[in-house]
Amino acid sequence: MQTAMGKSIKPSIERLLARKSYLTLLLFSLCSALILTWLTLGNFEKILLPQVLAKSNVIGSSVRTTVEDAIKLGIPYDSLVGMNDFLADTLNENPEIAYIKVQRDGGKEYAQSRADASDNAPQGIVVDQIEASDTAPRVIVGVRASYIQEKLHIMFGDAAVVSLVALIAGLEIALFFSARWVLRPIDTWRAMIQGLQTGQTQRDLKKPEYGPFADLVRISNEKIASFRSQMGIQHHLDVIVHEWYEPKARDVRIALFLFVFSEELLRSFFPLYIKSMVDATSQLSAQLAISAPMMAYMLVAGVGTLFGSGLVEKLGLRRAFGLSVILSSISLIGLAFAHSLIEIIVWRSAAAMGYAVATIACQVYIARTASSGAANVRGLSTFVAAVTAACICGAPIGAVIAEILGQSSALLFACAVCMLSWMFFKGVSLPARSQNDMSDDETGGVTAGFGALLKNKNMQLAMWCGVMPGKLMMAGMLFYITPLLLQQYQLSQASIGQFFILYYVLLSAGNAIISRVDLGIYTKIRLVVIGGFFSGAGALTMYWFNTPLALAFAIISFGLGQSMLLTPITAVVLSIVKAEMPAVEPSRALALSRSFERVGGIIGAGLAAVFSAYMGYREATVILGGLVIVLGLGTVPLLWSATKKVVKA
Amino acid sequence: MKQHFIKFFSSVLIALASFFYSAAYAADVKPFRITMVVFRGCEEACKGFTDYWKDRKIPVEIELLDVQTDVKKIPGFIAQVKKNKPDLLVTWGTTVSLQMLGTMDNVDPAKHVTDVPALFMIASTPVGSGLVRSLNAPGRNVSGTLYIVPVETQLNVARLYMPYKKIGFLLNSTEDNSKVVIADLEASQKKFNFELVSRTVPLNQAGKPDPASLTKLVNELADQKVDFLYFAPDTFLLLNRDAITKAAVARNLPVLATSESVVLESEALFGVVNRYYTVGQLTASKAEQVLVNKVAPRDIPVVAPPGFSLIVNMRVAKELERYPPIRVLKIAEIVQ
Repeated sequence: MQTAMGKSIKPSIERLLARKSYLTLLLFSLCSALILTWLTLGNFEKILLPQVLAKSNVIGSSVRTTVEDAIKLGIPYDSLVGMNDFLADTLNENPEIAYIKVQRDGGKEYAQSRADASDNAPQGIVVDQIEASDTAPRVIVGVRASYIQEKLHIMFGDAAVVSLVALIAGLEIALFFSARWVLRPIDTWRAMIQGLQTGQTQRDLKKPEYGPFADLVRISNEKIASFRSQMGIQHHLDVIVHEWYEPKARDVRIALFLFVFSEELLRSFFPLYIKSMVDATSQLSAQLAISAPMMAYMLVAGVGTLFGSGLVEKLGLRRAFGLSVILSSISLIGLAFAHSLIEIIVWRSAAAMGYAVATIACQVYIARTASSGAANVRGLSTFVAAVTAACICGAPIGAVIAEILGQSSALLFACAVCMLSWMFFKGVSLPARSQNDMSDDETGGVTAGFGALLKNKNMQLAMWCGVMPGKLMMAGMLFYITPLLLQQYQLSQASIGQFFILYYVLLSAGNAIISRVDLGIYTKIRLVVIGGFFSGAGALTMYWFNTPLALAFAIISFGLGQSMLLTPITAVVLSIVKAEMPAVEPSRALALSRSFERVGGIIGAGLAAVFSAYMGYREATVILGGLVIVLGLGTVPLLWSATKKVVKA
Repeated sequence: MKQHFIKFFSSVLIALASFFYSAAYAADVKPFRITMVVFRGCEEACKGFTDYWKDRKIPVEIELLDVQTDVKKIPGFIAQVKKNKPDLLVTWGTTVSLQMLGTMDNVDPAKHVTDVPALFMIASTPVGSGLVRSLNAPGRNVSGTLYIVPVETQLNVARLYMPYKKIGFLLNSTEDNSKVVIADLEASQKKFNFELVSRTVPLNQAGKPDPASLTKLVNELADQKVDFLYFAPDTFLLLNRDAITKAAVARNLPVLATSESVVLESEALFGVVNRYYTVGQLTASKAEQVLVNKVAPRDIPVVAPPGFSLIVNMRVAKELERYPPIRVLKIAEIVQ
């Protein structure tokens, strides 16, 4: 593992064990669940195919009866009206049918087929013919034999998503208990419960409480260390001598996970929720109405990010997080019972402020628990892991709850989760403020150094063309267009939620790989350029294909691009600061980067709304993709100009 | 065992007591007296109203007073109702209802029935014609039911049958129903993207709409190439429905009916209607509220039956060669 400073970090034995156990459990459980599902679905195929063929026969007979009834009423066969619409309805209601024809000797032929299937391409199509009679015409139905397979593949995908989400959420919770119960003495656990009741946490106790379990762990560690030294084994594992009552970064993980999870629960259905409300009450264009709360959220979150650290300093960690939970919970309740667009905008703005302050509070907590630079990086990776896990689980679970209980109930569920995060945060011991922990006033205010950063051309290129397009695409395509377009494709709420997982899984996997590879700055810039291209390239396929699969491809391409880009662009930004503006605090560049992300989000939601209103969701996706590619190309000059200086530096 | 016996015994006792009480009540209760004033005999709505009581096994005596399309008989019926004082008065049609009950702003206890709870049915626009102040709060001791399907629904269903750009309309300026409906149609022009072409029925020397002018007016609308003629729920037009629909068919002009009689008994191509029988049953359910539950009509909102019927006259469809699309056939009620 590498820090930003380039020093290697020695992982502790407990961390190593925890990580390996986590991955093993995840892989083993996921693989066994998927193998079992695959085998079961294989058997289903054998059972279902004859049933589908029988059903198509019934459909063909039903069409024949309908036409026969019309003829009996006195309508001449050749004068039947609306047959194309009727057959098209039949195809829409029965996705397994590729085409359907109604024929009569010496009469007209009425036929409808899917765009991607006809009798000219008979592979994989089973033809069923219902013969003509004196009064009824002949009906020919072409059934896609691959239909069952397609359905089973989708079911397998669903099973994979559900297994993954369930495992991640389960492991996240298990991690909390393992950290609290297994790896820590039982008295700490008891003290936490007492802390919830009395407000007095373990850290506040005059003498830390130790239990038999703590002794067991301590003795074991000492024995292992002694054994290793006796054997002369050279190792890079830390000898664990923990002060159990000291706060650790992982203490806040479950609270952070739950808080972010409560926000992510809204991801898959929120645009649909606004749309349904706007249809009922507002004259505003639906598209603009959907984008308004998103833009307000991004704006307030951006401002909150800039000023949130000051607020956390002023209020203290516990109060700041509590305030965030109150803001978010009230906003979620307000959203559940909102009746107008204005109400939604107000509640989303409150939630954005809550989100910004809560995430900063958690970051500050983690920073304060770090005893060294290595521990700080480890703590921040805990932060990223918790947020990523929440992002992966949030959208699909939120979608399922919205589908089963309704969107308002899903919002109330999110509120309950948010309040639960406060319970966990309340129980943690607060770390003391460290010497390095300076407030904004001490570092020259929240905007100090921004002027210099914004004047720098390379920094501008990195911000406008490297940082911003990703968030533009994320807000525009993923958050705004994806739910609406998938609803247009008549996908269920649960399926819509599963599309989001594509992005987050790719992003986290890609990030994990790239952050482990030691790359030169030139390679990093190249990755930024290529990542920028991939971020938008997938969306262009929707120009040719108007299908959910094309949208999935666009999301995958976007996830891939962003996973290539996100870590390197941060490194590039920091390198530019170091090489060209050594007087500016690197943290300022990161804060500026967060602000540009928010700007990207606002622009993305706005553009998506405008393009969707004038052209449609699919076209808007293509345009956003093109725009992101063009913007991404703006990072190319960094290869020539900035790179030389950066490398030199 | 003892407990089971006690339970069984008490159940038998309760059942016997209930039976004897019901029998005594049925023998003792006097039937409710309802006077129903109809315009042209006991048609479907009247039958629906009458059948309701049989189905519900509620004893009623229904006195039927038939105007037989002669409004001059109405003052006599008013006097009869005032004298007999039935438990409930039910009126059929806008004309009968207005003359029997007066309007919100023009009611005279000497000329109208005011001291008997009343319900109306088959009244096209009860608010527009002044029968009640609003549908939710009638404003006096009168309530009733709606039978006209909302104009927007009619236009939507009409578009299922055929595309249209021009709709013809015959306006009877002497009736509020006509004026209310044309206002609704005019308001819907933009939303449904059509042009409304209307012709006003001229008045004769007696100041009444002239039936002789109807064929000429229909021909004028046909010359304007309207896609169909919207047949408004208007008493004068309904009385002359045969002449109007025949003239339309002669010019190959489809007619959209808003009352079932125009499509069932005359030559309208299709109708988007509430069946009169259903309306009669709904009115009877309101009457039950008044008579059995003792709810005052002023506290009963004026409502329409849920849903509607699309009726296609296949005989006319064949004559015009305007066959219903298959989608329509699947939801329509076909009459020959």
